[in-house]
Amino acid sequence: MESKTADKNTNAEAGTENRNFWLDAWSNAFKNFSNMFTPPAPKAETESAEGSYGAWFKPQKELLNKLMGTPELSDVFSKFFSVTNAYSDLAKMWSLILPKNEANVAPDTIKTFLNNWIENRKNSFFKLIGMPYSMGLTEVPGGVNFTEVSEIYRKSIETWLEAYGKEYKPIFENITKISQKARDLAKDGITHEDFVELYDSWFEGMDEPISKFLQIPAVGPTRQMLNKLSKSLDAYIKYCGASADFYLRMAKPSTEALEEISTQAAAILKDGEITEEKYRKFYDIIIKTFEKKFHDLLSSAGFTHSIKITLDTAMELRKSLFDIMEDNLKQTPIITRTEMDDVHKEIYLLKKKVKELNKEIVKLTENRKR
Amino acid sequence: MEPQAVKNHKEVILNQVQRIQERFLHGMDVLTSNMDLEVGTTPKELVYEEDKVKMYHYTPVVKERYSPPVLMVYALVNKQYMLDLQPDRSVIRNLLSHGIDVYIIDWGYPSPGDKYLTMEDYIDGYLSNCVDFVCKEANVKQINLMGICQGGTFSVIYSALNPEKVKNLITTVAPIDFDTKDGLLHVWSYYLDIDKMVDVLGNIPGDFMNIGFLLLNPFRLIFDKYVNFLEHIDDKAFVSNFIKMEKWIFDSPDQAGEAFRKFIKDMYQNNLLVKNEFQLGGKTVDLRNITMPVLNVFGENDHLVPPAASRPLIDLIRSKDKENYSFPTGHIGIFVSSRSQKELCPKVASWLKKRSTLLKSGQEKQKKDIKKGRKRG
Repeated sequence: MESKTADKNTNAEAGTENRNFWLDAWSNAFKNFSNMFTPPAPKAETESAEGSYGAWFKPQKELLNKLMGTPELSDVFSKFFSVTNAYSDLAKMWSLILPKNEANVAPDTIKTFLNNWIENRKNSFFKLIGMPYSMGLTEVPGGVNFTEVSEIYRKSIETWLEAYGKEYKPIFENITKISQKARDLAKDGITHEDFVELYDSWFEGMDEPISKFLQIPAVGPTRQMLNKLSKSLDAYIKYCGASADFYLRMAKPSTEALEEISTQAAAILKDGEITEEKYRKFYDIIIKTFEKKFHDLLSSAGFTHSIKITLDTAMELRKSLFDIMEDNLKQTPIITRTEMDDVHKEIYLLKKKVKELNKEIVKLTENRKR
Repeated sequence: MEPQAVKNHKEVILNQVQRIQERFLHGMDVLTSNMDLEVGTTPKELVYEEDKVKMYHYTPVVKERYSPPVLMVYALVNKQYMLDLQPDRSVIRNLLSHGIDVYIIDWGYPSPGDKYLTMEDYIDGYLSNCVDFVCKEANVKQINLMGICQGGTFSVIYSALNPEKVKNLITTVAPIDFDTKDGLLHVWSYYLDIDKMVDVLGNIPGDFMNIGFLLLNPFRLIFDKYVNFLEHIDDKAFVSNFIKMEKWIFDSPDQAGEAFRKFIKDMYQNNLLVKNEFQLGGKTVDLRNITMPVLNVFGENDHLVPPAASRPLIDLIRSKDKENYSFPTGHIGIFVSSRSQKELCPKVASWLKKRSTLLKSGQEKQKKDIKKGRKRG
């Protein structure tokens, strides 16, 4: 009896300990999670991003180490965090470059950025993959020399930059131009036509620098894809407009019903006393008022028109998305919907033919018996 | 010192909260208890199968049996087990208890491969084959057809094209005259760009149909119904019935694209059936070919198929023995309400019995032998 009680106490203590551990863990996780959304304080350009994001990484790392327990895994996580930290460092650099230079990003700047990027990968990510770790692998399968790979990578990017680096300029110029246009349009409120105009300007602006690449036969389908995407964007905007109208119409009777209900509720509760019967009556009023308002809406010509437009635009959008998906699938060994439809039709017609023939066989057999 | 009115409010609210809590506690017991949620439990045998379509023959429950059998044709929307939702509210069981021999078609669940199925395939194909099978099985030349909702429209079309095979026709909540503004479905369907929908979607999803039905009376069907459920959550019988009904409501097969396209265009949008201009497989469907006895049943409060859509059938056919029978209920209540079990089913059974033959025991045995022989063959 005593030992059972003792066991119970031990269990209870263990339970409390476990619970406290998890509560602490969750509380820290939440704290860290909310820290993520707190913008880091501005730092000097030269300072590493670790300083800004370290507040988030450090407790995360400690928490994971605590949860995982085993030193080997902790080691892997340490490396993982060092890689992530390096990425955030790069992201910060990129974010510092862009707003400063806007349209004047020189190829040299991009080159420096890429050099730093490769350097970072070499120092952290490649090191991580290449290092022996507790899973029993002493080197990466195949024995790839990542230092060599990174050098090849660097050289190819340098060549690419020399050839096409200057093309970035008009792209950035166009982005600035479009931003200015968007700001101008937004002054008086943006309409559907404004969106279309903005999109067309963007497309035309991008066409100038990018078309050179797209005219290369290998990237031809990409250009087709962009055209289809532009159509689907148009369909999407139309669908959004139609569905917004539909939902607004659906919301209107609710507002009207609530107004009417509040007036009727005031009348019911005039004497200040609330009884169960009054609640029931009030509920009935709610149902009847909503029902009537919705019936008026649903049987109106405006709603019929709205539901038609919403369905039509939804179908247009769906069709354009199907087209894009079909194009994507065409480049894979996966059968497309159109191809499946053809197969289905073939099977359907064959089945029909077989049924007809079977019927004829039965008829002939019966005739022969007679 | 609290004013009296505030005190009263508090008391009422506290009482309500306490009652709700108690009800929910009981409700949890009910929900976690063993509940009978099976639908379509009346014993039946699968007698015919073609593609995804199945036909069942219900096991007779009384010695007295009438000939010819009745073949029930349900709509493509939702499932036929609504006629046998629960033992105490089962149209099938009710008819069987009156000696009616019942067959029923289950249209199945169309998959993307069935998008090319047409109304011809359903009526001239599956339905026609089922009728022929029943004729052979029961050793008769004519059978009784009972069409429900869209199945009623199908039965009318079949009967107009093959009057020699139908002895008696019963249509229940069947839309015939689609040119009415009484039902919202009729109004909305008129403006649907059905070509675009079928071209894009292939089959029309069952969920799309469900949303359409819920929109007919959104506040009652999306809110009030569930409030009512919560109010009765501690009542096991109510919960069981409610879940069965929900199961049926949301068990919506997709609609085969081509069949749906023709149904919407020719019926809802052009109302060809009542004009005797509807074409099926190259044949014109002339409702004046219907000369067999007809019982046309419709719900006075039906918001899906309003009486204005069902009632005109009687005036469009040439039968001498014909009757409109209106019932004070809605589209679903006509089959599952306790009143319909007491009034409508016996009415249908007695109407059929008057126009059918009571089988003698020798004939019964002869039929069984034919059936056995066919099975052996």
